[in-house]
This record gives sequence, C-alpha cells and structure tokens, in this order.
Amino acid sequence: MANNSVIKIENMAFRYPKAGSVCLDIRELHADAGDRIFIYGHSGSGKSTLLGLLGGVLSPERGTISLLGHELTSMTPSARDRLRADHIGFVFQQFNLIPYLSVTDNVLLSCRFSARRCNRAISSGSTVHDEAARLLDHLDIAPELRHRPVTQLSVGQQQRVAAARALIGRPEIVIADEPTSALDAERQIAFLDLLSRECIAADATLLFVSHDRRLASGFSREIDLSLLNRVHASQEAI
Amino acid sequence: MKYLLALAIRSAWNRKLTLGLTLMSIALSVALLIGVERVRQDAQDSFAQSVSGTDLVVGARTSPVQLMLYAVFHIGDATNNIHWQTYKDIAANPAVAWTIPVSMGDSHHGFPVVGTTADYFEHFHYGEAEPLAFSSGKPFAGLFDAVIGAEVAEHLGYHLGDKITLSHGTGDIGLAEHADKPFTVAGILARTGTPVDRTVHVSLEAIEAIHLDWQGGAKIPGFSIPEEYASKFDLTPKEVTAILIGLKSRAGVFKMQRYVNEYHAEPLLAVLPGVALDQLWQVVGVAERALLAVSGMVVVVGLCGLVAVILASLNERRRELAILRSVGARPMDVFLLLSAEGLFITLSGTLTGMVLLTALTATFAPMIQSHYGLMIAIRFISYDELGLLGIVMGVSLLASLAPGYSAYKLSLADGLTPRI
Repeated sequence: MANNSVIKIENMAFRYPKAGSVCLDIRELHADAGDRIFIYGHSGSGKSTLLGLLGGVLSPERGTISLLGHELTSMTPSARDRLRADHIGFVFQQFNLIPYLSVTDNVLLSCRFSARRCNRAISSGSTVHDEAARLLDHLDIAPELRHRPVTQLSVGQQQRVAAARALIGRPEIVIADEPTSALDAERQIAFLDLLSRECIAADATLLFVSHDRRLASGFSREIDLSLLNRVHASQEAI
Repeated sequence: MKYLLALAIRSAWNRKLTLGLTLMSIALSVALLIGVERVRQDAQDSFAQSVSGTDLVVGARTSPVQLMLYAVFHIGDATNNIHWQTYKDIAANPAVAWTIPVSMGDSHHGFPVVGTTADYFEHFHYGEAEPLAFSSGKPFAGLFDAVIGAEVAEHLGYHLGDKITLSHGTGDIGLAEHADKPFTVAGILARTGTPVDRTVHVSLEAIEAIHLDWQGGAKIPGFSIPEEYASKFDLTPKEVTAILIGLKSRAGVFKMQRYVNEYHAEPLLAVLPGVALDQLWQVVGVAERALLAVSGMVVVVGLCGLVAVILASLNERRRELAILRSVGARPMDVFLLLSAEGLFITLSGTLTGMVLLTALTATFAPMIQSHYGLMIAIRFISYDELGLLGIVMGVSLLASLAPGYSAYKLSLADGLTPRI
C-alpha cells in the first residue's frame, strides 16, 4: 500500500525559526496516485507553510513527510530540491512566469532543472519543444503567442502557461496554490476544468489549494485545512 | 550550470538600461585605471630614456640626483665646474670612446643654453639608442651659430637664420643680456620628447666668447670686445659643467667610475645614468602613484555602484527567484545566478573599457606625442595591466558575492511564496 501512496504526512509539526509557537500541526494527510484533492484554507491557515513543507523548502520540527515513498525529513536540502524538480509541478496565484523568458522557455524551465522531466517530456513528444507545444495547444495558447514576451499575455493566458510548465515531463504531483484567484468567475471554472483534465491525462495527483469553496465540486476529496491543522482546531475549540 | 549562466544573461538583458549604465561606469573606470597606468609607464619609460648610450655622467662632486638634474635635465645649477685640464685627462683615458663636454649657466627666454662640441650631435642618444636628427639646418659651424631644440623653435617661432640673444644666468626675467653678440639659428633638431627639445646648443668656444668682456657675473663697465674680434682671442674653455662619457666597453664602467670618483686633482662624481634616473624617478614617482591610487578608487566606486544596483533589483526579483525555486533551483543556484550577474557585468565592463581605451589611444596618441613629446604606444595588454585587471576582477568577484548571498538568504526565507 505504501507504493500507492503519493503524499503521506504523519504527526508533523512545524515552527518557523525564531517563532514562539508551532504554526502547523497535522496528525495525518494522505493522498494516493490520481487523487484530486481540494484543500480549503483561508489566509493565515498555514497554506503557504504546507506548500513549503511539501516542496521540501521547509523542514518539520517533528513527524514525517514522505513523497512517493521518499522520506523528506531524512534527505539533504539539495536532495529535496532535486525531488521537487523531478516530481512536483507548481502553479501559483499570480505572476507565475519569468518576465524575461518567452512563453515556450517558461514552459521548458521545468525541464532545465530536471533531467528526469526532460527525458519524460521527450518520450511524450519527440523533442521538449514539441511536448511544450502540445501542452500549450491543449491549454488553448495559440501558436502565435509562444514567442511573445510573457508580459504581453493576459492573466488567464499566463496561468495556463504556468499550468503547462507544471505539467511538462509528467510529474507525479501538481500543486496549485490559488491559481484562479486573479481570474473572473467564468474563467475560473474553465481553467479548473483544463487543469483537472490535464492532470488526469498525465496521471498526476492534484493538490488544489484555495480559499474559495465554490470551486471544490469535481474534486475527489475536500480537506479543510483549519480542521486539519490542530493548531487552529484547538484555538477554535477554545 | 550552463543554463544558469544563460538565465543570468537573459535576466541582465531584461534590465539592460540600469545595468548598461552600470557597465558603462565600470568601463570608464577601467579605461581610466589602465589609461593612467599606461601614461605612467610611458612617462617612466620616456623619462628613463632621456639619455641612452651614455655610460657615465661626470660632474663636480655632489649628489647623483642633482648631477642628473643639471647635466641631463638642465634643471638647477651646478655647485662647481670641472677644469678643462681634468676634462682633457678623462677624455684621454684609453677606456673612453667618446666624450661630450657640456657647459651651462646661460639661458634664452627661460630655455637653458648648453655649450658643447659637435660630438654632441654625433654621440648623444635617447630612447632606444636613437640619435639626434635635424628637422632643418645642420650642427653649428661658425662661432656664433646655435642649434635649437624642437620646442624652443615652436614656442618662440624661430626659423633658420633668425638672430637670437642669450641671457647671462638662468631664469626668464631680469637677466643681463649678451646683446652685443647675437647668435644665428643654424639648425633645428627634430622632436625627441627629452630635455633636448627645450635646449639651445652653442659651441664651447661661443660660451667663452660671450664672456670675454665679463667678470664676476657682470659685464665689465666701459670695456667691450666686438664680436668680429672675439675669434682672435684664445677661446679654449677654462671649465665645463659636466661630461657625458661613452666607453669602448661597457664592462669597464665601474673601473672608470672609480677612476673618476678618486680623481686626484679635484673632487668629481661619476654616475651611471640608468641608476641615477631610477633614483630620480623615485622622487617624481610619488605623484604618479597617487594618480594610480585615485583611479583605483574610481574603480572601487564603480563596483560599489554595481553592487548597489544588483541589491536594489533583488526585491523586485523575489517572485522570479521563488519561481526558479519551485521548478527545482537550489539556494546555491540562486546564489550563483546573482553572483554571476555582477561578475558578468564587470567582465563586459572591463572589456568595453579596454576597447574604449584602445580607441582613445589610437585617436589621440599622435596629438599627445606632438604636444607633449610623450609616446603612448598602442598595445594589447601588458603583464602589469593584466595584474591590475586581475585585481579588478578579484574585487568584483568578492563584491558580487554580496548580492549572491543576500539572494541566497532571501530565497531560503521566502521558500516558494515570497512575502511581498
């Protein structure tokens, strides 16, 4: 069963250096391959901290976090960086793209830092450029946009390019942090559909973090971070 | 690694205006630094080459530096002269190949007048053993002929055949004139970039002739010997101020030096011009070292500006760094990315500066040579300059670590979600 588990957090607590109290305390969080999980959290509920821990840029004070069977707490920081590069695609809220790179180069950024994803992209398309073009096609980015500076793209287009970057090389995990909050309601649904469809196509586990509960339909599971995080749960109980 | 470098360059290109200006300031400061170093080097070379081929300079006993100052640079006065008999003794020494006696004390509009013999034009060399050349005319033949240096001719607007009057003593104003015995310009020397350019040369006999009716530094009142009768007198010089000596074999230079220094009839000093010129440069050299230090400071200011610009850009690049982290960049990669930027700008700035300097040198070298007699050679790059550039790159490497380290700390603190 451990083989099937993509994300497993157990008895984990995190405290920022120099901070007095524990900021995140999770007894258990578990995701299997192909899961699409909606994590509901308002600001201050520890969303960013959770992302940092899953991405391996933060280390818990106690407990374990394992991704794809790799125990993060027993790895060196640079091994965690490697794991993140190879197996996780991120989509952030806004300004997801590097302004001085073209659309295609932004998508290929994931392959530059991970040989594994580069090879997997090549095995899907014939070259990484073909694979980037294929993903951009799927995400409705017209070919004439691909060599433009990304600053000329609309916010919706930018988010779709970011999704292509997260998906290229078929990482096992896609983490989206409020990717739709800068979009209007209609485009939010469209983007969500596209992202879900591509994650299913790529067989990736999707972790979708948002403060907007209306988006939760269509996910296989919904988790309320403020209930999951025992720091908040206990505070609210008082 | 290679991709990081490409990323650094593209990121820098994205901020080309501010970084371009910073690059230019570094280019200018490097051009200044190397330019000063070159002028310094060339000035020292041309100073060291004020006289060449001369094995010994002999004068009355004094300090070597002072002897060089009056015998070669014609600055200041000799404390004492050398008797003519002594000169003849030394010239007759079997080790001596040639001698140039020089007699000083008079001037012309501030330019020193040197009494000498025709050997001067044959044996005096400067630079890389270059002989004196005439741009017009020929060595003095008649008693009242004068040969003037290039700067004298240019400054005073003299041509061949012009009549000039010498003054008694050195300086520019308030001097008694040898107005009764004017000289004719018989030759004008080509420019050398040495003190020769500022000198009026006449024969030793002419120096005797204009002082026939003088005694104790003043004209004897009521007594005058007209110039047409001057040649009837015995014009053999009684004294000379200094002697330049060429030896048959350089190997004998120390033996000859000892012979002169231990000369029995009067106290003399013989110096090797190279050694004395080095000593003299030690004195003059303080100013040029100060100049080099100042231009070094300018480079430091340029590098400070560079670090400030990169550090200032850091805050608006936090998002960019977080994105790079999210796709797998290590904090070390972020450190390298930011450090590479500083180094890249310094490297391009240094190259631009060298190109700029070469272009400026090529444009202005002929002008500088004709105006100041300073030969600025167009050259690629010397070992000394390579050393200086190495120091610049080293300092910039250290300076570039500062923004690199800030970015490193920042990206560790920010993780994937910068708090902006």
